[in-house]
This record gives sequence, structure tokens and C-alpha cells, in this order.
Amino acid sequence: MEIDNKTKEVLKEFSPQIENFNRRFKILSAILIAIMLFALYAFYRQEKEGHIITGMRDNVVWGLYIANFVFFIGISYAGALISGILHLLKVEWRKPIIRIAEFITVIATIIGPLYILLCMGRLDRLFNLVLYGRIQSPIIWDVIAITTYIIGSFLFLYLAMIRDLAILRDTPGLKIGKFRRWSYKFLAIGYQGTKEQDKQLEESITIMSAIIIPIAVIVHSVLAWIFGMTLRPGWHSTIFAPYFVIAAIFSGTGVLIMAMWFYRKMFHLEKYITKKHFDYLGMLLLIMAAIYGYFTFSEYLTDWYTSETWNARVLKKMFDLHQYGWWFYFSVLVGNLLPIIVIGIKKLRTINNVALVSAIAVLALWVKRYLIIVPTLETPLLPAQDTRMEWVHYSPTWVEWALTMGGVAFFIFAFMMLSKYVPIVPVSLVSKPVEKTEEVEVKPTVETV
Amino acid sequence: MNKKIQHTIIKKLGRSLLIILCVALIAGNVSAAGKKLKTRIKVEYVKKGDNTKQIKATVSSKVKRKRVTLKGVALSLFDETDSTRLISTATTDKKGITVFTLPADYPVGKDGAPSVFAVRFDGSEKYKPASKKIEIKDVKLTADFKIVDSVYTIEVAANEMVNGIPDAPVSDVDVYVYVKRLFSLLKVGEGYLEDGKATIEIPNDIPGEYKTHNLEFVTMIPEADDYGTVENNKTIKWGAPAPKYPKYDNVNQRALWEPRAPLWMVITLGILLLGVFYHYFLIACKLYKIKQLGKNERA
Repeated sequence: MEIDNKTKEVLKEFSPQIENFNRRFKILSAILIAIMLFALYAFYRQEKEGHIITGMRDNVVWGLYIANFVFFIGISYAGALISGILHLLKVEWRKPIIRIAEFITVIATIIGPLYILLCMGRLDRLFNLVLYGRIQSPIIWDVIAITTYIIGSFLFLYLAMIRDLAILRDTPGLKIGKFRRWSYKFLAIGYQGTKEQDKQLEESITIMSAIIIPIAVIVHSVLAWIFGMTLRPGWHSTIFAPYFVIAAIFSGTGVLIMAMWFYRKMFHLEKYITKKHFDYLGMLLLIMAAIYGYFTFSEYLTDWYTSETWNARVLKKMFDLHQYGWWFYFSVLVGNLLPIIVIGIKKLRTINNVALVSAIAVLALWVKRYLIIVPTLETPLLPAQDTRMEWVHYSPTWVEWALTMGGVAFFIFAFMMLSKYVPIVPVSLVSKPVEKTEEVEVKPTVETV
Repeated sequence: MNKKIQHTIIKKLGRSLLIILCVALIAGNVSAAGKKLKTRIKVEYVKKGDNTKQIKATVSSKVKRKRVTLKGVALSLFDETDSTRLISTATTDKKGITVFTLPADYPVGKDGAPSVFAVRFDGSEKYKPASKKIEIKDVKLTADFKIVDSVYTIEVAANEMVNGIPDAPVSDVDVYVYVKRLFSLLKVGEGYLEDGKATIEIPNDIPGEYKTHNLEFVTMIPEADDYGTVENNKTIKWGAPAPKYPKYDNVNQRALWEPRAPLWMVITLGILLLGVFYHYFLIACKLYKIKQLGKNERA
């Protein structure tokens, strides 16, 4: 494939990013690997000694693991929705950030379901889920939906990478190993940039962009229905599906902004990831925060006003500062209001501030997932006669924290490794001229008499 | 003096050991190269429910200390009760097994004496000849299916057959009742034959065939020394029907223990998955096309 000068210039800018493993990268990798190894040790202990070494008991059977699962599936929305919609609308400014969004999707979709496995008491019985799964169970809907979503996310990322893989394959002088070069050749599937190939590839990306949006909505709705279709206080709600979808876009946008800020600083991408990107995505974050706040208010107001016994008990725990009060106020007030205030006021809307409120919003949303799961499970509809506090009250152990940190470390590590494999900014896209939408001649519809 | 004798003894011992070792090695090589391997034949007799008789032979040998079954071995079945008479020949399958089926009216246990069957292998370049005999008396096994005080009961009777007439009762032998399932037999009851009779109770909640509620029972005396395996088959409407719920009882239809998911759910899920995977397939086709176009371009 012939590579034009513009592409060569852009690639030249990004080649150090994929060629060099500098000291900072190595140190960070070593720290992340150490965290992952510690998580692996925690997993070994959990498998050897059983779930007794976690904080989960008969009442609270879902804890940190399921909170993490919902969180990671949520942030995977960044790629699916943002890049899907922006591609369909042919928005020009999407080009430098689209790959970051797609990486987030793929990595988060891999990590999320791992937490379900960690939550299972007998991993050796995993195949029974496939062999004896019941379509009536929302858990099976979730398994099917997430599997479909993982395949879709991989396809979407792969399709968007083919052009860059072909460029990397045909660029001589890159300081990369033989295996890596072979992998570029293999994965580029003979793409030469011909008109017909380009047409086929563009059609494929458009199909995936269109289909990944409903898939992503369905996946998170199904995830919400696992809770919503259960008769438990705090869960049994009709708005849970859209509530989860909005939370997912909210957290996904937050993580995308954080990743943009990190890569902008690390690889000096100021030329590509500009203030405009932070402004636009900041606005999206603001809108999502507002909608999410509205949903939250509506959800808790109806629960509080009806004061149904069991719902009231859960709410009491949420508002009580001696129980979950501080967590609740942080997630609902700080996590929702802060992005609205900081991004809403133009003076405060700097790149660093947008990134900071995004990080706070993401943390608040993780806390919210924890609050959806734990207080409800601590309020059983049929309380046991012997209600010892250690049976009812959930407190995560070091094993669960280690595996949570392991997941976060894996997320960052995988991100770093993928950005070493292909440029974090799609070279083929940013070197392309501006995409023009079709111009249609407008004819006057009113005849002059 | 002592030292000299000791030295001589050690020398002689060493020499003898060396010779023994060499002989053993040579002998070993010779046996590995030229000696034929031993063959073993295992024979089982089965009288089926329709009175056909089967003689199942399994041929094996020890190769490198491991027992392996032999494929493609030509076996002959002889009736040696009065005189030696060839009944049939057959070749073993890939599992080293061959089954000779005798017709329902083939006489076994004539005049009260056991029939003698022999399976023979004439040997080959690699394997030694082998043969195996079995002595079998004919047995008639009957099963009477009754409901006694709401309990499903099978009354089993077994008698030796002499010239087609029931004779002495079979005693001190285990008898089992199985139900035929999709892949194998499910044991549902067992008893012990005394004076040729046994009464076996079986559960009344075994799911039967979906529409007819039929269950196929196999009553069996397994691998008895004098009689081999004797079976009796009977199909009877003793299967428990699948639970039926009222049409609009949604609670049960959506329950996880309900074997049939609601149809609308299966159809909805099917359409959704089909729609999504159709698009994945479409993209896979397009990727293939891109690859082919790339090949043409390079050519």
C-alpha cells in the first residue's frame, strides 16, 4: 500500500509512542504487574479457602465484585455509544479520541464479566450455566447479552484499526520486532487501500456503528433488569433500565475524559486532543449528570413518599450518617452537582478541572453501584431469627479489595499495552482530509406567480 | 591368601553377572523382535428381551505392558455342546469387539445340560492363537407389573428352561430393574431371586415419554455365572406426566424450575440474537471480501 506524505508525517509523530518503552512506562508497568500478582494471590486464596474469606455471607451474597461488574460494563459505554454515534454523524472532532473510546469499551467489557466469575462459589460448575441455563432467568439474558456485546466490541475496534494496521505493516524503518510486524501483516488482512476495499470497510464500520448502539442499550438494560425484576426493596423499579443506561453513559464519558487527559499529558497530544474535545465531552458529562440527577431524585422521591416498610428501611440506611449517609451524599450530591457547576460555569471549565470533576463523578458512580447492591441485600424481606451482625452487615475483606485493585490495574495495564501496539490516535483518520457530508441542492418549493 | 581368594571370587561373580546380563538382553531383543504376543478373548452371553441371544467377544493383548484391544481380528464361534460345529465368523471392530447374534429359536441348554460355546482366534504373524469357552443354561425371565396399594411393583420370576419348558427355579441371584433413558439405562429398583421369585418396588414419579407417558423397563439378571446376562423388556404407561399449569398462570411459567420457557420469550430472544449475529456474519463476509481484494491487488 502506498502511504502518502501526510500519513507518513503523522506516523512519524506517533512512532516513538509505539517503539520506545521508556523508564516511566517500565516503572508503571512493574507497579501494575505487582498489583495484579497480588490480586492473583488473593484469587488463589479465595479458591483454596472458599468465599468464607470474603465479606459475603448468606444475606449479602453480592458485594464489591458485582459493584465492580456493573461499573466496568458501565464504562464500556464510552466506546460503544460515543464512537458509534459520532461516526454515524461524521463528526470531525471525533477522530483523535475515537480509539481511546474503543479501547475503553473492549478492555472494560473483558474485565467486567470476570467479577461475576469471582462472585461464583464453585467455578468448576461454570459449565452448568451453559448446559442447564434457563431462558426465564435474567441472569442468562445477561450472559447472552454480554457475550454478544464482547464480540461486537472486538469487531468494532478491529474494523477501526485495519487501516492503521496496514499503514504500520507497510511502513519501513519502524523499530519493532519480527513477530509484531508479522501480526500487523496478519491482522491487516491484505488491506491495500483500494477503492473497493475502502468501500467494504467503510460499510462494515457503519453497520457496526449502527448496531453497537442498540446492543449497548440492551446490555445495560438487561443488567438493570437483574435488579429491577427482583422483588427487593430498592431494586424493584420500572425506571432501572434507563437509569442504568444513563449512569453508564455518564461514567463512560467520565473515564473517556480521564483517559484523554492522561494521554494528552503523557504523549504531548495537545495538537490533536484540544480544549474543544474537553469542552464538548464536558458538556455531554454535564447533560448526563443532569439527567442522572433527575432519575435519582425521581427514584428516591417516589420510594420515600410511599414509605413502603422495606423501601423506607433501605432509605433510612442511606440517609443515616452512621450507616451509608456519607457515601450516599458523596455519590448523589458531589458526584452529580460538582460536574454541573464546574462545567456549567465557563470560567471554571478548564481542561484540568473537567478531568478532575470527571474523576470525581466516576468515583461517585462506583460508590453508587455499591449503594445499589449492599444496603438492599442487608435488608432482607425475610429476616432470619438469628440476625448476628456479621451475617447481616457486609464489610469487604482484603481479598475483595485486592481483586478490585487488580481489576483497575489490569484495565490501566491493558490500555498501556494496547497503546504501545497501535497509535492511540488513529493515524489513517487524522491524516485524512475533512469528511464532507453530501451537499444537496435546495430548490424553491413555492412558485412565484 | 584370603585377599587373593576374595579377588578371584569377585572377578568370577562379575564375569557371571556380565554374561547373565548379556544373555538377558539378547533374549529380550529376540522376544521383542520375533516372539508372538499373547492374545486374550473375553466372552459375554446376553439373552435379550425378544429371546435373541448375543455372544459378545472382546479381543485384547498386552503391548508394552499396556492392555490394548485388537481391531480387525477374525473370530469364529463354535457350538461344542455335542460335537464341534462352526456357527459363524466375524471380525472385531475398532474397539476390539464383535457380537454374534443367535436367532430366538436357537437351542440353548438342551436336555438340562449347559450349552458350550467357544470363540476362537487362529492367530496371526504378530499374535498367538487364543480361544475362550463359556457354558450357558437357558433361563426364562418374566416380569409382572402390578400396582399394589398404590405402590408400583414388579414381580419377577426366573426359571431354567429345558427343551423349551420351564424347569428348576433360579435362586440366589441378583436382579435389577432399569428404565431406558436417552443415552443409558437408569437403575430404578433391585431385588434378590429366591426360589425363582422376587418382588421389586419402583418409584412412581419417573417422568415418562412426553405424550404417551410410556416407560420402557428392562428387568435384568446381570452376568450370572451359569446364565450370562438375561433381560426382559416391557413398555408400560407408568411414567409421571410433565406438570401442566393453567394457561395464564404466569408465575409458574416464568419460574426457574419450569422446564419450558414462555414461547414469547424464546421467540423474542431468538429474533434479537439472529438480528445481531446476522450483522456480525455480514461483517465477517465483508472482511473476507477485503482479504480477497487484497490478494487480487497484490497479484
